[in-house]
Amino acid sequence: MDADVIVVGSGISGGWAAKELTERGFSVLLLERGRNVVAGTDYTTEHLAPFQLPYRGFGDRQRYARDYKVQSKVAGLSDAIDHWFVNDTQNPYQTSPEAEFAWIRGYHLGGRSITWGRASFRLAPLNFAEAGQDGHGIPWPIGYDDLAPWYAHVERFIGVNGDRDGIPSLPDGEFMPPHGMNCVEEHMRDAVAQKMNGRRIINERSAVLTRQLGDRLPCHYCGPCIRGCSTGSYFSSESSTLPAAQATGRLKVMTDVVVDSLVYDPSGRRVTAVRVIDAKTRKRSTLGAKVVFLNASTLGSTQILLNSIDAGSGRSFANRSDALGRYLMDHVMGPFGIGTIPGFGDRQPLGNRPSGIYIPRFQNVATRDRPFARGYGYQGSASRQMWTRGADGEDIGAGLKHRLRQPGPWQIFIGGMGECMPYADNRVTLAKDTDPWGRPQLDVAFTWHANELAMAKDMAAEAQAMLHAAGATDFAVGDTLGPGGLAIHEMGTARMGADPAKAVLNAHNQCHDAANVFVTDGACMTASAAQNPSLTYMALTARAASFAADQMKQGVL
Amino acid sequence: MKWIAAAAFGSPAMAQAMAGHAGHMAMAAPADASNAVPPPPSYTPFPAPRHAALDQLVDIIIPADETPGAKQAGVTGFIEMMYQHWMDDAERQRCDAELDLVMAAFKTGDPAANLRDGGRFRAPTLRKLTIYGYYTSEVGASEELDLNLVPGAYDACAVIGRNDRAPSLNTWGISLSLTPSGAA
Ligand SMILES: Cc1cc2nc3c(=O)[nH]c(=O)nc-3n(C[C@H](O)[C@H](O)[C@H](O)COP(=O)(O)OP(=O)(O)OC[C@H]3O[C@@H](n4cnc5c(N)ncnc54)[C@H](O)[C@@H]3O)c2cc1C
Repeated sequence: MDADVIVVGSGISGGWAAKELTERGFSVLLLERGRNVVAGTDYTTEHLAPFQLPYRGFGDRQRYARDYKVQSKVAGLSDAIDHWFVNDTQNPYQTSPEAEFAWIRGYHLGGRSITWGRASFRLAPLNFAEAGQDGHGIPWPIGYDDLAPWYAHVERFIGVNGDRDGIPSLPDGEFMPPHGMNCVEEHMRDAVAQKMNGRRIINERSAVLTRQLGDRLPCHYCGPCIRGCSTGSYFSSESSTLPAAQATGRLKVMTDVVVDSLVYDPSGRRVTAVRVIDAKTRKRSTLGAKVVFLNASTLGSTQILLNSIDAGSGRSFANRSDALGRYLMDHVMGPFGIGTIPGFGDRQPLGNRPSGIYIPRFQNVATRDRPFARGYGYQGSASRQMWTRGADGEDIGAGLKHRLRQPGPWQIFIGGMGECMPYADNRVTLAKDTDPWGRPQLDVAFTWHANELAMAKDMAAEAQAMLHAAGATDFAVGDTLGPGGLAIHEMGTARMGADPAKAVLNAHNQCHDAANVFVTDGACMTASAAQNPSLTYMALTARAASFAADQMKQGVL
Repeated sequence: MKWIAAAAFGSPAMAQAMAGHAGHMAMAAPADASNAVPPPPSYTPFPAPRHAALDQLVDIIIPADETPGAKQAGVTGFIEMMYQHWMDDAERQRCDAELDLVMAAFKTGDPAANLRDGGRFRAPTLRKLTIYGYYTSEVGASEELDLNLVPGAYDACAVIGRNDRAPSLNTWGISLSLTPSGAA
C-alpha cells in the first residue's frame, strides 16, 4: 500500500478529494500528470503589462497554428496564459469534422482550477427533478437536499461572493458581499425587471474573495485572474485545497505521473492497484491503495476507465451498463447579444472586476413555455469601449489621438449558457492510435441536436429583447454554435444513476462495478443543467469523500 | 495615475501581506521553466526606404503632442516584428501593398490627400497595427492612457472628469485580428 487513498488529478475536484480525505485522517497519494506549480512563484505573468509580454498579449500565433490548433479556439489564448494550456501536438486525440469536439485542457498541478472563470452556481431542485422525467436522460440518484449541505460546506471554504436573491431556479448559498454592478448594469437590471414581468438580472456568484479568508486576501482587482493569483484571492487548488491537505501532514503529491489504468480483481470486484507511467522517462510501474478517486477531469477519468480492462470480459470493468463513454455533454454556448447604452458618460469603473452579471434561467420554470426542454441563463457585463474602437474609424492624427484619450461609449454584453441533453451517440471511445506514453488515444464524437439548436435561437432572440428593453442602440446578436467543448464544461461519460444497467456510478459516485473506485469529476454528471458546473463537482466530491471515509472507518472498504 | 510596477501594491499593509503569502504552499520544488516569460522575438527591420516610410506613416497616424507619438513609442519595430513572426501570408501581402501605396503618396506633392480615397484611409491594416502597437507600448499604455496594474480596490461607477485619461487595460485582455471588417 502506498497510501489509504490514491487521488488521480489535482484540479478542482481532485484537490477537494485530497483535502476532505486527509482531513478525515486518511493518507492520500495525489497523482498529477503535469508539472509542479508553486503558488505565487510560478504565476510569472501575473501583473505584467502588455509591453512586458513577447507578443503584447496578442499571442504567439504561428506557434498556435502549429501546436495549439484546438486550445487556440479558446477566445483570448495569449502569451500571458498559453503555458496553462496543453500542446495539442504532444497530447493528441481523435475527432472528426462532422462530430468535432474541442477538448480544452491544462496539465499541471492545479489543472484548470488556475484558469477557470470562477462562476459558481448551485443546481436547483428543479434541475434534479427534471432529469429523466421529460424524455431526456435518466433520473439523478440524488436530489437537491442531498447536496445542499455540501454546497454550503464548499462555499464557506472556497469563498463565493454574491447576493441572496431568492430565485427558485438558482438557490442561494453562503456568500460574501458581491463586487457590485456598475451603473449601466443597474440600469439594464431595472429596465428589464420593469418591462419584462420582473425578470431578474443579478450579480454573478463568483469564487473570488471580497473579504479576507484565512491567509487568503481579498481581490486586488488587477483583472486577468487566469494568469494566477499570488494573493490566493480566487479559489484554485493551489490557493485553497492543496494547502489544507498539506497541513494535515497526510498528503503526498507526485507530479509528472500519468495514470494509465486501474488493475481490476474480478473475484473481489475491486481495484487492487493503479498503473502509472513516468511522464518524462515513460517508465511504467504500479501503486497501491485501498480506495481510488478518479479526478482526472471528465474525459481524463473516462479514458482511464475505458483503458482498465477486465481480463475475463476483455472490456472495461466499469462498463457493464454500456454507458461508459456515452452521454457526453457540454453547455450550449455561443449565442450572445451586445449593444451600446447611451449616456452615463461621466462614469467609469475603476479597478478590474473579476466577475459580472447573471441572468438566471427564466424559461420552462413554473410551466413549460418554450419549444425546447429545460433552459439557459446568461453571463455578461457592461463596460466602456476602450482604445480598440479606434481601429474601426478612418481618422488619423491629433484628432484620433484625442478621441481615444477618453473612454468610449458604454456597451453591454450578455452570452447564453444552456443545458445540453445527454445523447448516447455523443461519445468517447478508445482509438487504435496511441499517445506518446503508449496509451490508446481518445476518439471524441459530439454533435448538437434539435433541442440545443432551438435553445440557441431563443437565447439570441431573448438577448435582443432584453437589450431593446434597456434602450440599447446598434445591437448585434448571434445564434450560432461552434463545436462542442468550447464552453469547457464537458461532462457525462460515466454518469450517476440508481440502475447499474444504465449508469456507471451510484448515488455516492462509487462505481457500480467496483466499490473502491469513486469518480467525482464532471464524468459523473447525469444531466448538465445550465449552471457552470464546477461548484457541483466540488460538492459531489466532498460528499463522496465523506461517504468513502465512513466506509473505510467501518472496514467496508 | 502612472504605471504601477508589478511589485507595488495598493497599500503597505497589502504589500506586506502579499509578501508573507508568497510560497505559502511549500511544494518544495523550484519554479518550472515552462512558466518563464520569453523575451520578444528578434526581427529583421524592413529595408531602409520602407522602414523610413513606415516610421513616417505611424508618426502621421499617432503624432507626438504633450505625450510621445507612435514613432517614439517604437511602433515601427512592433509592426516589423509582427510582420515577421505573427502575420500570415495574406496579411503580409496586404501590408506590403499598403506600404507601396503609402510610399507612392509620400512622393506626391500632397501626401495627406493621396493617403485618402474619399473618406477612406488607404492603409487600414497599418493604421490598425499602429493603434494596437501604440496603446500596448509603455508610452501609449502608461503615459498617454492610464495604466494601473494593481488597483487594489474597485469602484463600480466612479465619477470621472473631462480630462481624465481612459484606462489602457481591461479585465480580459485584448486580442487582435487583422481580418478586414466586412470580410467573413
Ligand atoms: C477558461 C476556462 C474558464 C472556465 N470557467 C468556469 C467557470 O466560470 N465556472 C465553472 O464552474 N467552470 C469553469 N470552467 C471549467 C472548470 O475549469 C472545470 O469544470 C474544472 O476545472 C474541472 O475540474 P476537474 O477536477 O474535473 O478537472 P481539471 O481541473 O481539469 O483537473 C484535472 C487534472 O487531472 C490531471 N490529469 C488528467 N489526466 C491524468 C492522468 N491520466 N493521470 C494523472 N493526472 C491526470 C490534469 O493534468 C489536471 O491537473 C472553466 C474552464 C476554463 C479552461
